[in-house]
Amino acid sequence: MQTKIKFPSKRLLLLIFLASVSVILLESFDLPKDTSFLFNLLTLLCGFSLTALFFIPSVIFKRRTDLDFMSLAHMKTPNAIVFVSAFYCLYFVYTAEYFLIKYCDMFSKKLNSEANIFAVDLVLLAVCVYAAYKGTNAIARCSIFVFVFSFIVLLIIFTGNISNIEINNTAFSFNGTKSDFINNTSFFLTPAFTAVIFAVLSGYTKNFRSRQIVFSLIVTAIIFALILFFTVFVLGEYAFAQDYRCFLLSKTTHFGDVGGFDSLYLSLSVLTVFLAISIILTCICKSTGKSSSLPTILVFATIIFVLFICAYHFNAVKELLSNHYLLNIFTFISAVVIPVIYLFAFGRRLNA
Amino acid sequence: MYNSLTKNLDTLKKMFASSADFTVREMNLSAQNPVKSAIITIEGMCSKEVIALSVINPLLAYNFLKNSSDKILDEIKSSVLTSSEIVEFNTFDEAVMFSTSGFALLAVDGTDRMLAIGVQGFSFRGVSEPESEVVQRGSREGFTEPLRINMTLIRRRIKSPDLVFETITVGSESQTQLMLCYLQKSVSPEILKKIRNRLNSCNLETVLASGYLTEYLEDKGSKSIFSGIGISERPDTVCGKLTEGRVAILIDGTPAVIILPHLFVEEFQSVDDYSNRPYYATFIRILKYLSFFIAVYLPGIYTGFAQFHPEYFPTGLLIKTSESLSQTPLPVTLEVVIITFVYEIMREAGLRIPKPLGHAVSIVGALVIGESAVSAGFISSSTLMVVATAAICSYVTSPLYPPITVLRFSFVIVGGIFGLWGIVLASCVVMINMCAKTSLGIPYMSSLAPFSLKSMRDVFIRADWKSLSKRTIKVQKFPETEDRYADKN
Repeated sequence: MQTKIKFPSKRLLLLIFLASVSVILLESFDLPKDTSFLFNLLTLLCGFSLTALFFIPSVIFKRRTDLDFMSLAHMKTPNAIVFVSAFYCLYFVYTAEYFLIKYCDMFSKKLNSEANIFAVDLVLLAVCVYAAYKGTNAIARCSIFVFVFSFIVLLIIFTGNISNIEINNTAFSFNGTKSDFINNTSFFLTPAFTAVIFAVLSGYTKNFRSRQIVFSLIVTAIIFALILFFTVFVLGEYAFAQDYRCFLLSKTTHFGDVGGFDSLYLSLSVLTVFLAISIILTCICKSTGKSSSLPTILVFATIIFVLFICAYHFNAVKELLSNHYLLNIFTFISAVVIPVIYLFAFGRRLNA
Repeated sequence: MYNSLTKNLDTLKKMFASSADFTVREMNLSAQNPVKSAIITIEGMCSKEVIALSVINPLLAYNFLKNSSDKILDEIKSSVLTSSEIVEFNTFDEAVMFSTSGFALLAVDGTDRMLAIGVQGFSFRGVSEPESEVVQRGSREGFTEPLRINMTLIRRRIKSPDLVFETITVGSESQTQLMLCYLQKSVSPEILKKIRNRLNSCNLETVLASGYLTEYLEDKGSKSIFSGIGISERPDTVCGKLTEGRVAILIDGTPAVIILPHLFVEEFQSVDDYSNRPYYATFIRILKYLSFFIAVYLPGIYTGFAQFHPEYFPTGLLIKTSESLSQTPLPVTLEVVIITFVYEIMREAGLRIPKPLGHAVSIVGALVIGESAVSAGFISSSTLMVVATAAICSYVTSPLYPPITVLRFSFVIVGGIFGLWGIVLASCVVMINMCAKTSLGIPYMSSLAPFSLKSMRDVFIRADWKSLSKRTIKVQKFPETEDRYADKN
C-alpha cells in the first residue's frame, strides 16, 4: 500500500513529535522527592541534548545519499542484512511492547480497572495493524489531525491549570544527587526511540533540513518542561507520590465551574499511542525489506500480543519490557552504534 | 451493408426483431429510372413534422438527374436535405446506433451506404432546478436526461474553444453514450488517460445511471465509505470544477454528471458560497464542518458518556439525563440504535411515498415517535433530542449523508460497547482510511492532509474574489500530486 511518492520530511518529524508526546502522556516515572524544579529541568535538557545526538548518524546518511539507514544497509551489506534486520525488528518489538504496557497500565489504573486489559491491547493492536498496512504516508497525513487535536488539548490543560499555580521559592534551588541526575536524564532520553524511526523511514521523505529535527526536539522539550512546571507548581508534593501526572493535570483543569477534561487526556493518549505503535509496525516492515506487507505486520503484531500476555502473567517479563534503561541502551545501539559502524565502513563511498 | 434495399431492410427488421416501433417509409425517388428508397425510424424518437418537412418533402420534390444510386445518395447529402446534421455510414451496427439515438436513416436501393439524418424529437424533461442541490442565489438551471442539452448548458457558460467534448460508448447492450468534458489547457493528460482507460475497461451490459460507473472510476485499493467520485446536477458547479483541471463525465439518460477527481473538502463547498459575501460564506462553511462532526459523533459520544462516563456530563445535564434514562426499559445504546433506525425508515418512506401521503408520514412520525413513545416511557426525551439534532445536522452536508449514516451507527455501537476509548479508536480507523484514499492518484484529503496553505483560502474560509482570482489552483498541482502528474504542456 506504500506509494512511491515521497512526502515532506516535516510530516515525518511531526509524526515523530507526536510519538514523543505519548511518552509525556504515559510517563509514570517517579521524580525524586528531594529534587528541585531547576534540577529536573537541567536533566530534561541533558536528556534532549543526548536525544539530538542520537539523530546525527541517520542525518548524515540522509544528507549524503537521500536514503534512510535501513535502505542503505540493504544495499551495501546484502549478506549481513539478516542480522541487522533481525536486531532492528527485535528493537521495534521491544519498543512497541514498552508503549503498550505503559498505556494498558495507565488504562487499568486510572480509567477503568475492571476492563479486560488483553481486549484493550488486542483492539488497539488491530487498529495499528490496519494503519501500518495503509503505509507510512497515510499515518503521516493522519498525524496532521492529531497534531491539531493535541495542540488544543495541551492548550486547554495548561491554561486551565494556570489559576492553580502556586510558586514556592525552594523549587528554584538546585539540589539533587548524581544518581538522581542519571535516573532523570535516562528517563528524559526515552523519546530518543524516534531517532531510530527516523533512521528507518527517512528514505520516504523529501526536502529534508537538519533544522527540522532541532525544531521538533525543542518543541518536545518545551512541552516536557511545561508538564514538569505544572506538575511541580500545581500538583506539588502530591505529584511525587503519584504516577501519570498528565492525567492528574487534566483532572485539575477547570475553567470556572467547567471541568472534567480528563476525557481529552484519554482521547489524546489513545491517538498518540496509536500513531507511535502504527509507525513502529511500519518500521518493522521496512526493516524486513518489505513495504507495508500485511502478512509481515500480522506476524509481528501476533508476537507483540503474545509477549504482552506473557508480560501480564509474569512480572519479571513485564519489568524487563517496561524498563526505560534497557530501552535507552537498545536505542543507543540502534540509533548510534550500528549506523556509526556502517559510516566507518562505507562512509567514503557514500554519494548523494 | 448490402446494395439491395430489400436485403438491408430485412436485416434491420431481423435485428430489431420486428419491433412494433420500427417503422419504414418506402418511396420512389424521381430520376431517369425511378429509384426505390426508404426512411427508417424508431417511432417516438424522431419528430414526424421535421421528417416530413426536412426529409420527405425535399426528396419527393427533387428531380434526380444522376442514374447511379451512389451519385444519387451523394446528391441527396449535398443538395437535397435541409437537416443540419447528416452522417454517412455503411454498417448495421451504426444503423442501430443512429436509429436508437433519434436519427432517421435513409437507405437507397443500389448502394451499400446510408445516411443518418438528425431529426430527434423524443420527449424529455425540461431544464429545471435540481431538487438535490438547491441554492439561494445561483442559477436555477439543472442538467436533464438528454446528453446534447447538457452539453449546451455547459457550452453556454464556458464560451471557450478549449472546452472539449469527447464521446465514449459504454454498455454492450445499452450502448450508452458518455461525454468526457474538459478544458484542454487546464486538464492533466495523464488524468484524462486514466479516465479513458477505466471507462474502456467497463464491461457492463447496461449503464442506466452514473452510479454504475463509479466502481470502475474509483482507485483500486482505495475502498472507503467516502466516495472519490463527485456528482452534480448543476451546470455552474460543473463549469467551476472544469476550470480547476477536473474532468466531467456526462451520461446520456441521467442528469447526474460525474466529476473527477473529487476531494473531501469539496463536499463542504457550494455555489452559494461564491455568491454570498466572504464573511457569511465563511460562517456557513464552518457551520457545515461543525454540523458534519455533530451528525457523526453526537449520538456515539452521548451513548458512550451515558453508558461508561457519566461523570463527563455537566452536573445539571447529568441529573436531567439520568432522570430521563432511568425511566426507560432499554439500555441507552439500544435506544439510540432503535430511534436512529426508525428515523431512517421514516426518511426512506418519505422519499418513496407519493406526495399526497407525505403529510401523513410527517404526522405519524411526530406523534408516534415524538410524543407517544416518550410519554409511554419507551424512549427518553434526551435520547430523542440527540438523535433529532444529529439527523438535522446530517442534512447540512447532504452529499455526505450515506457515509454520515454509516459512521453514526458505527460510533453508537462502538461507544456503547467500548465507551469514549472505542470511539477514538474507531475515529483512528476512519482517519487512516480517509488519509490513505486517493481519487485518480490525488490524496482524497488534499488541502488538509497533505496540508496546503495556498488551498486554505477556500477550505474553512472563503477568501474574497480578489484573492481567489489571483491564481486558480489546478487539481494536478496539489502536494504529492505534482510528482505524479507533472504538467508536460
